[in-house]
Amino acid sequence: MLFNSYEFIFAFLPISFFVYFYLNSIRLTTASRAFLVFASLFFYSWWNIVYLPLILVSILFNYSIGTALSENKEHKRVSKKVLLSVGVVANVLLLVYFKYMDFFIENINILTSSNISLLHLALPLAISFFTFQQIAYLVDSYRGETKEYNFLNYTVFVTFFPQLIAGPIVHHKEMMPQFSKLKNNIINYRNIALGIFIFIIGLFKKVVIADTFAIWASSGFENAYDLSLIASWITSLAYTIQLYFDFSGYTDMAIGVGLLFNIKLPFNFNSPYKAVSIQDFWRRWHITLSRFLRDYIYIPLGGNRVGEFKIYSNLMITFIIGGLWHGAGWTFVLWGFLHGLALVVHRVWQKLGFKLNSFIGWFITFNFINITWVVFRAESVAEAWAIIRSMFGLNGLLMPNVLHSWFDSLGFVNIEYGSFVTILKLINGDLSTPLWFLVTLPILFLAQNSKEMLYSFKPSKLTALFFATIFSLSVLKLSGYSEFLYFRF
Amino acid sequence: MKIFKNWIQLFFISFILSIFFISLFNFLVDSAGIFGNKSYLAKASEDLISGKMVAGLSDYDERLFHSLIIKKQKKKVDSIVLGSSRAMVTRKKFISTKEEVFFNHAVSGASLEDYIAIVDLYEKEKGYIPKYISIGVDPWVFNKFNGQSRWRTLKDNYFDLLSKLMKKNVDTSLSISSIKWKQLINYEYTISNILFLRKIFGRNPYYITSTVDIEDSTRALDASLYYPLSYRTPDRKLVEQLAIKFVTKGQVYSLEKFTKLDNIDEFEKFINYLQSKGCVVRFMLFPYNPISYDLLIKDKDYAIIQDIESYLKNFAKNSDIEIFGSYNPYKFDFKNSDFTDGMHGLERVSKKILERN
Repeated sequence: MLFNSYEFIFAFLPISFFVYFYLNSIRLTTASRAFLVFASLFFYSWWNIVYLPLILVSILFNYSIGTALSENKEHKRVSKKVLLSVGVVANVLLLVYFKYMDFFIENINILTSSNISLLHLALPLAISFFTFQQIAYLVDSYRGETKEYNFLNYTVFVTFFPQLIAGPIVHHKEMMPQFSKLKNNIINYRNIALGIFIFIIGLFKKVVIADTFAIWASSGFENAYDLSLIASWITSLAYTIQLYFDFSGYTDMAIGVGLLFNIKLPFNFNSPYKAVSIQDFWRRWHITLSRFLRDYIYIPLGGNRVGEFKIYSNLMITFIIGGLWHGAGWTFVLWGFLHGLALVVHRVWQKLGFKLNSFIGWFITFNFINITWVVFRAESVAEAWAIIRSMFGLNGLLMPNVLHSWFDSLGFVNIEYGSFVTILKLINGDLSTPLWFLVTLPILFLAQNSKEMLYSFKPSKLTALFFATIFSLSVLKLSGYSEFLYFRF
Repeated sequence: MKIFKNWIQLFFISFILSIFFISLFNFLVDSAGIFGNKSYLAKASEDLISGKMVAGLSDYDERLFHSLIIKKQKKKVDSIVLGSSRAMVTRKKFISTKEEVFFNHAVSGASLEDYIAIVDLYEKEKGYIPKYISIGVDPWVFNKFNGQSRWRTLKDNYFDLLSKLMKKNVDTSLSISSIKWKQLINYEYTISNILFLRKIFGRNPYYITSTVDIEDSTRALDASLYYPLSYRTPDRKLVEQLAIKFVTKGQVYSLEKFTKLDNIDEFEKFINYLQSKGCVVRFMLFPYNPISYDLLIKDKDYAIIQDIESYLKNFAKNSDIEIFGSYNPYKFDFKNSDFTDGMHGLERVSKKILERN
């Protein structure tokens, strides 16, 4: 079930909300949690019930290992290590089998000229998210930072539907104390108002902004080899905008729904396109994934406590894994590699004591992010390369007629001219397209983000009317089918 | 806490009121005639059935219009045409000179789902399938990436007959009624209703005409289409440009990602089903503009249209089906001047291919 669907907004969410708090109001706390698990599994199975046994087996397995890790005494350190290894390896193998098997087979076939049949396995929904979340839980249990002996609680932690499908990736220790707080079992009007407020922001971001830019981004990538300079920039920027509003919109909705249930989910975004360096960007983009990669890959590899060269290699490894986490393909590996490399360059730069003006830092960072999103989105490295070439004018310079005389006066030759409408046609755009960019880009770079808006929210008649209007508009836009981009990761 | 409670109350009241008024607006304007039989489309279909030509209809749901014609028709229909806009100008006189009841049910961007749904409408609503079924089979019918989704208006009918054809229950999770009622709170439908109101302000959305030589699209008595007069005599140079652009500028209509023939099983089962019900099926292959055709067959991404023609000819031969026309315009000596763009022939194209055999 999608957050941006009639079924979710008008049926599933209100029913879940009222049943959950009704059960709590008659002091059936365990039943309310069981209901939450049932509702979450129903939510998960809405797409395809065949995925359900897999997540249940995964939960059962990790719960068993986690319990064993928590119960194990200090003097059995070796066996704890073995247990943890078994748990982590099993989770990784599950992910590898469902997500990466065909990728490996394809590459083996290419390398060895063999013809091994692909498995064509359907990727179980949210597998990357619930696997990472449970690996984190196992490691935290091993470290003694968390423990859970109640299977129902553990299942709530993994399946809580607002964060189940596309994060935020949460820690057991930040979730379960919230479920245990008695005051969270009663309806809290402040949280409901805040939840509605941020849910509507997320819904608007998704169905009005992201889905609009998706049209131009998708058309541009479909015509990757034919794009002119302007069309390729519109394509890449449209995807950059789409991805942010799509994913942050989803997260806002998840946070909003969580708040309705008095659960505070962590923020995943903090105006990432305002970042003035690549390091800054990764502190603002998909924050809970960055946190996972830092705590469970980068630091265990040695983190910053090793030699400089080892730090660089740790960064590269971490980001290549991060890239692969997003999908089984060389484009994702390359994207991770480029980001790892940028972080290494940034570190060397800092080490050498160089400073960069904030605006220049922002400009370089944003363009780097924008170009690397092309690699991330493209179906192949060749397709990405075709668009990037076009972005640098290596695939023809089709310019709008209005610039003809100006370019002539500057002495530019070998430039083709056409109407702006013709240029926009290849990306399925029209004259409203530039207007959308003119409105949206300043929002990205200058406006408050949803976290800041949430903190400064003040209930008033005006905000109630304004958000009712925004919500109505978003509901009107629900009818078109659109999946969230991060569902596939 | 009270301030938040009040805010929530005001928010929900405002939201419910705004959705109510938007729904009411869409229900009352109903530019596509989705709600109830009192819409202008229902009246237009009644006028057509009662022997009046209707003109001026635009931006309406063609599938709904045809479903209304089928539902309201009192006489038994003997012969129908199925197909896309390429088949819309196929007249009764081209198909049959007999005194039979004929309707052209071609709809824009028709895909296999439309063929199936319209036949199901006859079977469910009227209890019979017309004896003669002439299908303008377009190449994209066999492309699963054809991007056509307008058939969803008739989704219930499509899935109904599909279940019979495939002998299994087919996913019908999104029922027609849910699609229909969702239009009340649909952004596009709201916008089209606003535009519709603006357009028809002070005049009817359609009118009765006694001549087809007017500057509005006209539905003839057989439901075939007469384009506006000027559109029927297009500028040759402009058509040439359109024919080139059709292939070279961006995506070719519904032929993208067309690497293999899809939907074969469904298509053959559908045709076999019609034959098992005693229907006489004919295939009509409407040619492309020769300029577009040359470009299409030279391009490896689109040359597949030749394979489709071979497949259809083979299948027709094995199934004892008469086949008219060809995607290849040279087989009938058609020229650029016989077309209005890259893929739509003038009336004489339809006439000629159907006279040929």
